[in-house]
Amino acid sequence: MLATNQERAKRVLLWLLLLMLLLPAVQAKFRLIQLAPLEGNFAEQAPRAVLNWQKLRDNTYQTDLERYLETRLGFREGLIRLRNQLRFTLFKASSSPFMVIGQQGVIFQDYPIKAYLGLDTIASLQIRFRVKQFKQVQQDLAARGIPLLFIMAPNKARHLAHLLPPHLPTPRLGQSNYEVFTAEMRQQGVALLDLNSLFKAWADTARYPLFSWGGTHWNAVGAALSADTITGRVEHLLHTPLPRLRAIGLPVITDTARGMDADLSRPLNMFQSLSAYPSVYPRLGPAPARPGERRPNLLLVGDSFSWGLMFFSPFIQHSFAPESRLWYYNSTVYLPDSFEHKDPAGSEVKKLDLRQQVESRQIVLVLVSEGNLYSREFELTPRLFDLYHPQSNEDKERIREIERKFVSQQSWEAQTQPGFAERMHEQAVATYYLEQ
Amino acid sequence: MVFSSTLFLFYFLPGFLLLYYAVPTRFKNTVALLASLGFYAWGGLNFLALFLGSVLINFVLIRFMDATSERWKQRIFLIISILLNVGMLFYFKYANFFLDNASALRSYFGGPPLTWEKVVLPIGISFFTFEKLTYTIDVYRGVNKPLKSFADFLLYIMLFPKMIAGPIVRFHEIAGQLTDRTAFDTVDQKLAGLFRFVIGLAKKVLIANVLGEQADIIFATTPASLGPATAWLGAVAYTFQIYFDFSGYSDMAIGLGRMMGFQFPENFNNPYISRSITEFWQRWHITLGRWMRDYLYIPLGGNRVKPSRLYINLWTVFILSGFWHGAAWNFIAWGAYHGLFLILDRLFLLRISQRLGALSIIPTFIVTVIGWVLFRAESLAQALAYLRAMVPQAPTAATLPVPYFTPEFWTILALAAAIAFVAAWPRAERAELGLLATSHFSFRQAAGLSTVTAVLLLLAVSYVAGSSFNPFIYFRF
Repeated sequence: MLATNQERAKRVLLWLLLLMLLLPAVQAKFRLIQLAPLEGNFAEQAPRAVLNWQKLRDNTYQTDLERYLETRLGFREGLIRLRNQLRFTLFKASSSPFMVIGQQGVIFQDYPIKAYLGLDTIASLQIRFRVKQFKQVQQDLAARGIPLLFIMAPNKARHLAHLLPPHLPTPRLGQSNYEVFTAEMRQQGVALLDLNSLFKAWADTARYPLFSWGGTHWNAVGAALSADTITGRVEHLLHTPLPRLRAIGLPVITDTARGMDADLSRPLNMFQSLSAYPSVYPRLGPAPARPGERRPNLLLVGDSFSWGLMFFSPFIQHSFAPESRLWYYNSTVYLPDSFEHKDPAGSEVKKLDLRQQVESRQIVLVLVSEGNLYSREFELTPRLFDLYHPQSNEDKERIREIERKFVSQQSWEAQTQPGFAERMHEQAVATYYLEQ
Repeated sequence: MVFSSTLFLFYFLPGFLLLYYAVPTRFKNTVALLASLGFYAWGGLNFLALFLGSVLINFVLIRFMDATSERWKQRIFLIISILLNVGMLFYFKYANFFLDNASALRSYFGGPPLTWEKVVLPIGISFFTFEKLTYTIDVYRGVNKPLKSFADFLLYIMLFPKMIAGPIVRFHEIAGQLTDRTAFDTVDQKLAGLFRFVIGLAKKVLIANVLGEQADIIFATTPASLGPATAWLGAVAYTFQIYFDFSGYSDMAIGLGRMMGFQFPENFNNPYISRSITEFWQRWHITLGRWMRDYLYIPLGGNRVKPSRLYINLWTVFILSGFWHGAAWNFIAWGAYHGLFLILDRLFLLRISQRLGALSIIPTFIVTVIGWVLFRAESLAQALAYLRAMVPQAPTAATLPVPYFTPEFWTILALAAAIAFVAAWPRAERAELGLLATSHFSFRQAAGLSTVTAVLLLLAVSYVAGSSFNPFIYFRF
């Protein structure tokens, strides 16, 4: 009898274990338990696999179905959180390859760190050429009465370098793209607002931190100081006052991070939130109106730092005309009040008439962070340059000539490397325009 | 469909087991066969007809062989079967290799390169070809009578737990179980099988994958920019990765087999505690070693030939073993390298290792690590460049800093080393073998085993769900 009971009990154990294997599929089908969704850049749910003979034969149906089941797996959210929590608790490791856990639990994004350390450097010839091209575009727009201002966004890794993980290499002083670019811009007389250097100055006097511990961008304080500085600079360029915001009381200090202040910490997707540093949110309201104030029509071309000028407090909305637009990464057009609102008149930059768009503005701001310096202002500068200085046949022939010369100087082995032709072409174009 | 995929773990496996356990004994083989056909078709639908055809021809040939009493006629059927199976393997696995080399040779002498449509490798061909050959040869040798039912034969070849990457089950090891598994159809066997499966899964996803990520990064770096310390670290990481990956797969296959009532042979027995390369091959990929011994080395004359012939035979067998692992020169070099050490063992190394005692584990391990560089590299040239990087040659290379590796990597590496070497302590090895071989548990033991299984399963599954880095190394072969 005892043996039979034992057998029965062991059978129960076996079936419980098998149930563990079965439950995720049951949960995937019926969603019996509701779990909080994952945050951040996780793979989106794959579409349902379509079955047909061809797809079965070429194995795409199998791959599609596996992907579909993988992304819909029951308890996936909990399982991923379990793994992330374990890796963080045991090894202080982030399960996202794009995030780095620094000292005192401060979280950094990977590519701004590389930019700060000088691990993504661009050749100096290219930098000189790109700055020269930007300067030319700045002059072209100035001739049409439109100031173009380059705003260098601050880098959290640069300002909180003392909190980076200690194993990282020493930064290559003076060699990062930011340092070389801004030095070249100053030398060529480009209109530049370097918030990186301003943040360094403010950090010594600011009462509150300028970056959040769990975000990659400026926090509300950093954004407010930057917005005020940008507005002042625009007033200077346009010789006209703009409506401004000002502090209307003590800031709110809270343990609950808002908006972009948790854009790195939330996607860690763990059971237990990291112990957060307090976040500071200035309370702002309209400053008294000044005589002659107007709200210029702004075109802001920028990366994700742009959102901080709109959502912590409505700087763009308050100081600039309602027709103002954000060209996010020079790709998508947004109204300046929400990232939910793309421009109903056309949200794809490439489909717009560039000349008409730019020349209908009163001011153009380009907001670029260090890690995006390679992007040539998200390709805005080359497009504008081509618009105002289309290449003649003579230009093209001369560029080809230089390119041929460069190619002939390279070894056979170098010529077989991927991307060789594109590199030679870029180098020839840069050399040609620098010769002008 | 890999064992650590979502589809297998949460859909195929529980669905199959529920059905397999629910049907009466006489239908279990049918369920297992249908599941195996589905499993193979999932990844190799285009090859299914060819595969089934070759199995059918093999079955018929062996029936003819059995039907005749004249030895010379039996021999003809044997030769046809061997030619058919080896020919298929040769065509699918090695045609590209030989044509690539012929083309390179032709170009060297100024001719135009050859062009041909690349041959696609059917999944698991290396493994099931060897199993078909064991059936043929075992029946020819009179070790076993041929199976009466084609379905049983097909099940032997196709049994999904071992079809893709082994263990290579010789026909006589499983012949009886194909028709009667009642002796192993107990709840204890099933619990032990599930435990073994989960151990394998954990070895794969918790250890091998973590080490593999770093090993991949190091092997992808230009060897000239690696310092010797980093190069060694990459080689050691790969050494443990391949062990935990492949032995993990074998554990899963053996565990699945046990849950179905099959007893598959062991494939690994703590290979890194070997005191010589000879011993290593008695502990690493045991079923391949036995296959090579029984169906290649012994027919070549085995130990009963003069020493010079014996050395040639040994080397031949190991070069072929390397070639079996992959159609590339680096695999051939890997086989030749191991073959060389087996010869050196017979000449003098075994005597030295006997004197060294347990200390000989260290040089044996180092020889193995170096061998894995040949195995892991993408080409022989890359392997040689990597091996050069492992030797401190110039002061600049020696002083190249070791890049940063995460605490997770170091912890898992240390854990892997501890698990791999703990069996050097005889009590630990006995305890491990005892646990894996146990076929009866008290309730307390079963509860403990089930708890460990549940925890490891949860951990492994959380890594499976959270990680897209999940390839099985041995699917390359």
